[in-house]
Amino acid sequence: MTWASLAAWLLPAAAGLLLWLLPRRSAKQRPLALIAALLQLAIATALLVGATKGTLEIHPFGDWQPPFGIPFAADRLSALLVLLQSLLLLVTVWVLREETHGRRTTERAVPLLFLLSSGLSAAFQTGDLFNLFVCFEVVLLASYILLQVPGSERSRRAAFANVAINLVASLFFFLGVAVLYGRFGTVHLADLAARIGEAPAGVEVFAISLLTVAFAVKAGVVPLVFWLPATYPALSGPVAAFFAGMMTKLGVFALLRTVPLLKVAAPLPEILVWAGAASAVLGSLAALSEYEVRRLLGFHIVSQVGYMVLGLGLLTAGAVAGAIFYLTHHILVKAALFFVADELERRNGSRDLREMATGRGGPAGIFLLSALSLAGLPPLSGFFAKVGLFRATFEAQAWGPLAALVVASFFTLASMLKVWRHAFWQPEPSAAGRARTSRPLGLLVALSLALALAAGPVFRFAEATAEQILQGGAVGTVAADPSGIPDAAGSTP
Amino acid sequence: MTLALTLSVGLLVGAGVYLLLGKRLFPAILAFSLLSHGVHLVMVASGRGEAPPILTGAEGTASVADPIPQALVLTAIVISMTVTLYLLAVLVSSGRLQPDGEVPQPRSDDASRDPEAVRAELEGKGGSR
Repeated sequence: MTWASLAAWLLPAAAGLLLWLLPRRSAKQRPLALIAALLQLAIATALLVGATKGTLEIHPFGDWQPPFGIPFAADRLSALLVLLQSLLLLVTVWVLREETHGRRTTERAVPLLFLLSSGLSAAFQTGDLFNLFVCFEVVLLASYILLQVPGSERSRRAAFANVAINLVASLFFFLGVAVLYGRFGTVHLADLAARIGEAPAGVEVFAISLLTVAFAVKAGVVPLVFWLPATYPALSGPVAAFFAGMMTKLGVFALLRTVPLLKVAAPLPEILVWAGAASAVLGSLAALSEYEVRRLLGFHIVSQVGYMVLGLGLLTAGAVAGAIFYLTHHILVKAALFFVADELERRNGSRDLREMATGRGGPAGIFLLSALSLAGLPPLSGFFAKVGLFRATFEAQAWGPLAALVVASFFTLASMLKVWRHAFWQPEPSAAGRARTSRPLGLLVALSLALALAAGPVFRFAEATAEQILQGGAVGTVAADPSGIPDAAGSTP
Repeated sequence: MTLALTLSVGLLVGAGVYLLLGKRLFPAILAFSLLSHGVHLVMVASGRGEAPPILTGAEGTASVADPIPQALVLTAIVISMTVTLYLLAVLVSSGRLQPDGEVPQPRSDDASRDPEAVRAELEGKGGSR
């Protein structure tokens, strides 16, 4: 599936540039964007099918072997995330319409979303630490410009803070890469893993900590989180939904990729577990005190990223599998909630819950299903995601984090009920009329319901993924074949 | 040479952090440039003179520098320049952010804003550009 692994990021890049070059006010933008997004979804599906079959083909650019070549390969985790990302892109492009979001927003946001998607696809598949840095920057540059799309003073203010924090995080990332290169003479992930050996010590721990901090900022783990709730309300609605689904998950992905591979030393996974637990509780607690819908949901992202990071920090197969299942569920449900929030805000002309009255139309149903799923009520996907994580935490005998997760679940439910009470549990407004259910949101909710119905098979997939990650993932298979790796000291010709 | 590199990194990062902690906008943008270049120098310093890659085993490689960090730094310089340009563009394009004005703080809510402006923004009609 080499072609699919390349096409998954070349296609959106090409589509993004093409859409950008279209003349303004072109009627072709929307159909072209939808076709490109559908194509990308097809490619991502092919990628996932290929990854599930277990035959890993690694594409080394220019046929350079490690440690010089930049390998591209899709293992289960990459393929899963590329698929979710393509799906979300399709829904976002579908929702962004001129009639509802204004011509200016649509025209500018759609090409940028494709460029962002290209960077994400590449980041999920690369097997090279420096290339991961470059992909991060591609994603960030697109996101910086997307922040400016609303053109309001609020978005400009949010943009500066967001750019500043992400820049500093990027510098940490780059510094980590530089130190690792200085120590091992390679930035090829598999090669690095092979050279680090069993127990990293000294300067390696320093470098890995720098990387972890950088990824934790992107993921929004407490205490490196405050950029997130300030940024998301300032974006235009559907773009915020895409960000909510994917941007923090890029950080989680990077942690999932590097923490097991680089055999992070003893205190670091422990710190991740407790940071995750703190995020879970504090995020949902902060959400409880908010009245702006998207700020409230932004704090929920912090809380849920905490669940995932906690699972990752435990580093057992069950916990990582739980984190991956949670990630899948979270991307679908959280994006749906942000789309509903956008609908609410536009309908009521305000971001504030206290000024909202929507009545129980179409978005109410979507909100209810997503919110209850997020809180983890039994027949919905969030329940299975939480069961997986809770069981793994129980088995690891991490009682403190387990208690934190349970408490966070209650706060989540409470804050969701708050939104319900203010936005929907109101007398039917006379002027606005009933809402139309928008079909793309139905798609997201249907998928999250399907995730609940197919929880067994999906969880087995997550377990296989976790096993692959703990063994080093696709990039780890290169390391298994030492003949491909020349000696760094230069002793062999 | 090592000492010179170390001192340069220290100077650049120190100056960068100092400017970043201030309140003014233009020095903050300058700070990102300085910080980036400080970190880039670390990458340059990580090139290992004794092992030039790719030419393993060839004669006279002792005098050849390791090309990989230089390639990596080149990429990083391009990226940091792009980001600096983006920040400057933000600064220029918005009349309200003056170069010697303060770093903008993100607003946490719409409390002090005109409801009509908020409504226009949510419907995608906000902004002038």
